[in-house]
Amino acid sequence: MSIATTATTAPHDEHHGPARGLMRWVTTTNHKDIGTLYLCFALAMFFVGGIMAMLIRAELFEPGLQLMQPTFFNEMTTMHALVMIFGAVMPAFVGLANWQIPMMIGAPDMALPRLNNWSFWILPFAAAMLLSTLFMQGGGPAGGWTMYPPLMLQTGEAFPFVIFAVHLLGISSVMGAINIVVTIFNMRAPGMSMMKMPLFVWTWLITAFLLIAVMPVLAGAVTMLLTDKFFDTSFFNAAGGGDPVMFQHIFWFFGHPEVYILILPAFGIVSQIIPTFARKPLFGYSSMVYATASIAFLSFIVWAHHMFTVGMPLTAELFFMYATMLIAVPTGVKVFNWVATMWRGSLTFETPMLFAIAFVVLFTIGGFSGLMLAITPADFQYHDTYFVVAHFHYVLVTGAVFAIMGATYYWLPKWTGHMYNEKLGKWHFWLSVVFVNVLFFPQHFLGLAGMPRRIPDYAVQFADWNMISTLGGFAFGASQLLFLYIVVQSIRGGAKATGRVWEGALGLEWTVPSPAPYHTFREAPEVH
Amino acid sequence: METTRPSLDPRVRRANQRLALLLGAVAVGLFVLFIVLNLK
Repeated sequence: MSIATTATTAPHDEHHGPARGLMRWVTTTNHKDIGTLYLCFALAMFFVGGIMAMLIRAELFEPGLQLMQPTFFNEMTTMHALVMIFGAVMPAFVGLANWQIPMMIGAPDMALPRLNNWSFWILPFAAAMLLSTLFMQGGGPAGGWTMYPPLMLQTGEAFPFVIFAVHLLGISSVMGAINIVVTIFNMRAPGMSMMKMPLFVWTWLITAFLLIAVMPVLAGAVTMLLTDKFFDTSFFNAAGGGDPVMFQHIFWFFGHPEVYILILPAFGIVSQIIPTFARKPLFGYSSMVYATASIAFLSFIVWAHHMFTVGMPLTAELFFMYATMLIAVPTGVKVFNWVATMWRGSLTFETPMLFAIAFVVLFTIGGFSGLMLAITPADFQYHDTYFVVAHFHYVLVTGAVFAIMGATYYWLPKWTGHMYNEKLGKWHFWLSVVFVNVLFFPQHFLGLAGMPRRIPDYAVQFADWNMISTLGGFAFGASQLLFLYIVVQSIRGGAKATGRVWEGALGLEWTVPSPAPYHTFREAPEVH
Repeated sequence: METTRPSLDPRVRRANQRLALLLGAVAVGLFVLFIVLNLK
């Protein structure tokens, strides 16, 4: 993108800052405050979900049952997924959107500030309700995050609470998505045409449409589960004429676009970071936009690749296989464009750039293993094995989570006004990138050798790689404490950040001082 | 309470509200549609 911006930030009224005390955070309608709330919440949930991951890996350190009952293990795998997806990754992206989108498009705030406050404050209550189910009679949900009936219907007292928590999380996401669409459509500064918008804004716009389209589908599916359980309906009850496989179709009609909801904003982040540290405009801006839209469209017609082994007509298997493989085309466009942006650039390797490059390499590994899973006959072998676990963790940890960490380092000086400790940042990166691979790469081998997922015990031949994976997991988990330390240190003080922060940074958010004033762009900037 | 957010042009505010309501209606409609489609 080659937009030139003039630093026409309006004079910022220093007398009108935030309210003081706790009520500032409860009643705030400021996009920066709400962005901070989202990011803090996501970080807290990242550690909660991380503790669950550590418990899972500790149990799998060696064969046999060591630490927990199998039911509790199943609760941990289920809750780990729900917490990480709905509590950590999605809120982190919404937090980044809140902070950055208004500043990137020259808007004074989000379009619907009170709705924004509600979108956030639903979340802690939903998360608390979800986590509280672990302490209920019969334990928390243990049937996997996919909530397939009839297994899910066997959940104890926790069942309605889980459903209600999912409803609340969905409502929060849809309200956030509506706010983002309206902000981008109606609040752009004069001259900020759609095809001048930063890629992060574009990817979030498309993500928001995906959210509005599919979160109601999930809500509908879990509502039908609820009525099957309590109101004697038979949507998914075979004994009453229903079809449990229908739930799987509906769930994955939500679930596959959800996967892209979790990764498209990451594409946007990487598309911001790489040009900055390559000191070149993004290669193929418009093709990036069209590739993102293509991926979003394709996400609606590939859902049944999650269900090849359930059974479907051969033509359906062929359709879903080829449609899934087609996604590699726009994704490849993106990867090649990132590489082309770096090509002959004046590259420097600050921590955000390191995370962005690691994203490109490791996400591509996750993409390739996804292509392997798309091959229907091969999927019959890989399905429900650790190969799938390895695949989606490469996409979601070295993909989504690495992008969020890169974004945090990239924009932290803009948020706090202080540079983070670059040396510690690099330590955090290298520890993370080494141990995340020690953690997840062996899981490919385990899956190919036939180790099933979602089991607390396993055959002895899987012991060695499980031990290595667990060691990598604990080291990766411990490395994230360093991330927490670096972020807190940057909030508390450090070298003063300039307005532009990075030499190669382009875009409206870099035209305001660091830290960004409480109200930015009270008068719309000019975009040329 | 913070009170100094630059106030929006009323036309923009109304446009924002209309678009938000439209998108909200789409979301609610999809929710109802997917349940109705499964009724037999």
